[in-house]
Amino acid sequence: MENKKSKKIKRKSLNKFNKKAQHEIIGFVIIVVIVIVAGLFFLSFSLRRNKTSIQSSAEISNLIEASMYYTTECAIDYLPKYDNFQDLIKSCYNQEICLDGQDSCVILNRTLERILDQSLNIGPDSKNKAYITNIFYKYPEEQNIPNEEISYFEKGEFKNCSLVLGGDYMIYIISNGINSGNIYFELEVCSG
Amino acid sequence: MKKLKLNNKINRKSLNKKAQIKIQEMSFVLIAVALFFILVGLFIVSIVQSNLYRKASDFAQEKAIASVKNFAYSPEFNYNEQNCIDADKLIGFVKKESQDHNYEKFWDFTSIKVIKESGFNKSEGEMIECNAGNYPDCDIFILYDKTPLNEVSVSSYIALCKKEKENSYIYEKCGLAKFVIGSERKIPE
Repeated sequence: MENKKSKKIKRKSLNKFNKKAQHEIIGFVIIVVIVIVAGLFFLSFSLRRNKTSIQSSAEISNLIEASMYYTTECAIDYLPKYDNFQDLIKSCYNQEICLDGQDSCVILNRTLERILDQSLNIGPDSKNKAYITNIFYKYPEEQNIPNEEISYFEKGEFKNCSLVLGGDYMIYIISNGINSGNIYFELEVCSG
Repeated sequence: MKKLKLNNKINRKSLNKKAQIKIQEMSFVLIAVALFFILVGLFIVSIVQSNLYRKASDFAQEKAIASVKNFAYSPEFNYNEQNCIDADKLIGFVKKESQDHNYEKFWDFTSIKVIKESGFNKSEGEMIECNAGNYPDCDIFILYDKTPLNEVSVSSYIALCKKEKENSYIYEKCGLAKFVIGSERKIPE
């Protein structure tokens, strides 16, 4: 009888141990799962942040700055006083017509496309996959007026970029001796 | 009574053993968890470090590009604006076959070239080298080229300007160009 009792006690204590061990295993699994989820969250967050961030590039900034001196085919006043690219942006903003009758904005877009196509060599097999350009007029902040678009276009597929390089340029607009706003030229290049 | 005592002894012994096993288990689990965290930490550190190396090389390249821009601004090349160089000055620098070129010793670079817009998407073999005979209908100005074995080149976009004449008026015409500077990569012995 005593033997039976001691066996029962043993079984009970073993059951208790087994239950405790199971609880421990469940606890450990929960901890591991939480750590893995936290790790994955951190990893995905850091990778996503790297992908979307735009890195300012001296090469792109130099390209924008150099293209501002580019002589265009549009002359507003007389021949051969051709606008450089910076003046052409202002002419387009003022909706001026070139001496040969062409719209300055049409020439602006055509010239910009030619400059960027030649210098960036956009293509699916090329280093540069796509680009976005945005030229807009920004009023002084105290006036609370939304930006006015002058030119916007993109080329190529702006997807799966391993690096996005960017640069910008600001043109001061002064009328009657007062800064009435600025024109911004932004360029983003998708590098694969 | 004796049997009960014996049973108790056996129970205590088995319990002690079980406790030891539990302590062992616990220590193993602790070691495993610590190892896991160390591995995760190492993984994160390696990612951060690789980003740092990439950023460092990016910064070095940006610095090199900025120095090219500063070099292009020197009076030997400069037009009248920053980031603009004078094509007519460049043609004066282009090496003539009968002439020794002192500028190879003047600048501490292994090569200086300026690629015009027309030569952007051409290989160097396809480009037409500028000289007094074909200027301005050419693609590349080679100021000098020492062609060392291990050359690293850095390029930057600049505006290439020159005076042109139309309807008896003189005006300035600017296009895009790439200023390319080469320097020798030192290999540790």
